Amino acid sequence: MPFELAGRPFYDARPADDGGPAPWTLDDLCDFAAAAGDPYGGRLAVGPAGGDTAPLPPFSLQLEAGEPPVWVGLDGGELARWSAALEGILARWGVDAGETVGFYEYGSSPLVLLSAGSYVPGLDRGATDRLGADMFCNDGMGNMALRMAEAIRVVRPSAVVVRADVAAPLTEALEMSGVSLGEVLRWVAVTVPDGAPFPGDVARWSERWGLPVRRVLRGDAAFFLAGDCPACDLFHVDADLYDLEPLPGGETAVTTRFAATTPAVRYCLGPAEPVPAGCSEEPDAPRLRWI
Amino acid sequence: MDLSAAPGHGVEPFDDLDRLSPTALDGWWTGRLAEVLAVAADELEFHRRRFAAAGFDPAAFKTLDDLAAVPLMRKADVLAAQRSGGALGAGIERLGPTPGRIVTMSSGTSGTSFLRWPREWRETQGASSLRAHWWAGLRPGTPFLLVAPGWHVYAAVQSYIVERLGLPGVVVSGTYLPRFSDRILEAVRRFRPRFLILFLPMVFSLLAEARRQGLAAPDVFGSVERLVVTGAPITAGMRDHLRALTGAAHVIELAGSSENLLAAECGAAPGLHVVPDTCHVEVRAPAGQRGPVVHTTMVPWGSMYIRYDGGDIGTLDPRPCQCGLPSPRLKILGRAEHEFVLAGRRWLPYDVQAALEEEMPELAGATFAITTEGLAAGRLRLLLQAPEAVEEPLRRRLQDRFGVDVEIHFPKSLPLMMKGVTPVVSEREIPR
Repeated sequence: MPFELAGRPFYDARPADDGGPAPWTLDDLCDFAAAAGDPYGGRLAVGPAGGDTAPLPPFSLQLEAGEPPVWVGLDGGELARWSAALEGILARWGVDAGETVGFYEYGSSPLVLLSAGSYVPGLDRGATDRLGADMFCNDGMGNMALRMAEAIRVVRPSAVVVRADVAAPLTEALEMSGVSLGEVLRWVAVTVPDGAPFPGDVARWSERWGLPVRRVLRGDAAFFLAGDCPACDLFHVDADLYDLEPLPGGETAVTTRFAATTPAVRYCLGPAEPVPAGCSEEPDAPRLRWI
Repeated sequence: MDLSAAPGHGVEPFDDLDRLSPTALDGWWTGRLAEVLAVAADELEFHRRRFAAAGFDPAAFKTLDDLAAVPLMRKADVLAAQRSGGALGAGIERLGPTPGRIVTMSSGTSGTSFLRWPREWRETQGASSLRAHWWAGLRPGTPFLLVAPGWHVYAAVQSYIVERLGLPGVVVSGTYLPRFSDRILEAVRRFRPRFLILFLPMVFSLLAEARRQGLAAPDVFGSVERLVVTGAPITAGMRDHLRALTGAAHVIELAGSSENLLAAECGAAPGLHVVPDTCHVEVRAPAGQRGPVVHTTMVPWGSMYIRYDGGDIGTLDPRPCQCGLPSPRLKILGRAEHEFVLAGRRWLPYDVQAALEEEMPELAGATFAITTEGLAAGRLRLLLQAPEAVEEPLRRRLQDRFGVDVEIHFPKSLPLMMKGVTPVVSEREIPR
């Protein structure tokens, strides 16, 4: 295990026969958080947050997915490693110095927070910062679609990342504004708060918008981020950051190497299967097929 | 240090800039303005062109009075330049060598402008904004809810403040709109901040959400010693109302804009002290009277707004303040587009709010709207959420005060966003 798990109530409560914790899901974490009254779901090293003895992590983020809401904690080093996952995705999708990436997504989304060091205390430099690119965030409400269309028209980003649930209002706003994505952008990436968008939806958006649509695979509870590959269509995973483990029943667990404050050991990503490395684009990258 | 309870109402200085006399601050401003104007003339096409057209030579800038020769800029000028410049910007952006910039947006009330901010700007502006938060009473040792939406420039500033003070930073999922009140409420209850900054309508959204969950205000705001409200001017009655509703010992107004305007209350005297290393502020009216607020950035990085009339109406009080801070006190009273005329005099919704609470103190904080239909007929027609028993006495008093016929109607509800913002609206926009 990358980190000591003993003394963390969530993991203490889930021993497995192999000596590690049993694989767990976001629902497991939410249930534990609700039962224990601990917003971090028992993953902090000492006591519940806000108590007399537990110092708060330098940075706490409430996850969008899951009910009741749960929190993850990180320090600057962990933020930097998490943002390296996003940097790798954007670099592989071709984001280069001098370009701009737009986000039609909440400012509280890890994708936005990890993009620019300006947004997160302690991050220093985010993914687009390190790539030498600029970024903007339009927030993630459907009623801000016209403003996003205007941002694309004026700022002319080379790529945008869009929440799946605002793809429809964005499409309508683009039509109203006379903005053609294909004339401005190289690609759009679509994201959902947990997991990945459905391939059928992606194909439909790609046809409608007239450009490639990429997919982001997220497991925010485990700080997991992966992007699909234009060449093999599978999600490439950064082996320096994440260890994958096939589980019975066609699921995959991830252990996040850098997560120390609220460790993520054997987090079940859901219906996904590891695929051996071997893509021509990134020959050494472990891959995942999201089912 | 407790600002407003301190002996002599003193504010603990943030640094030596706060220890200057008002005269010395004018001297400091003159030097910094000369630098800003020189940078603008040397490097920024938008300003170079406008300076030349106005016959203004930055080298001739010697005193604050010389500012009058600098051409005013308005949002329409920026939008026009933005349309022609596109991805290259409006020509007001000084970006610096550090890679990785963020683009933020204006609020969009009169068209969206896109502002560019390099890391060099964040360091300088962040330190200045920390000064404003320091005046408002922020100190190490409290969790800090990062409340700005990602499109707003404050998102970059507040993260700097958290870094500098070493505060635990807390980000709630979603965004800071009423739809996410339940999550924000949960965060305030969990993390128990002593210092909380909120967009004014969100205070009421959180209270509404608390009622929905069967919670009393102390269950939510019990930890909050300093509640900082921003986004709309507050009256004295609204401040008392917020204090009573939330139990926060101090309710502090902070005013800012994406275009580098920043001012914060000291608590010792009315008005908000201009934050001197963020901006220099003029109000284009005789001293103490209301007029257009014009401000100039003091940060020579990013989107540089120089003598910018952003459409706010306010007053500027240059008289010394007993708190000891040297900068004049600004009070923004509303937006120029919300001004209306009754009986030949110009008014703002703020005046109606103040009149309501002065005539009937029990109406402090009441939600209301002024209708354009009434104004078109030369009357003050109010939609008010209050007991109908107030109608007749209130109507008479407002009639005397504004010198026109007053009608008061009592709709079952008004949109929550109107709470504390008091806009002028068409009745067609009010849900029935």
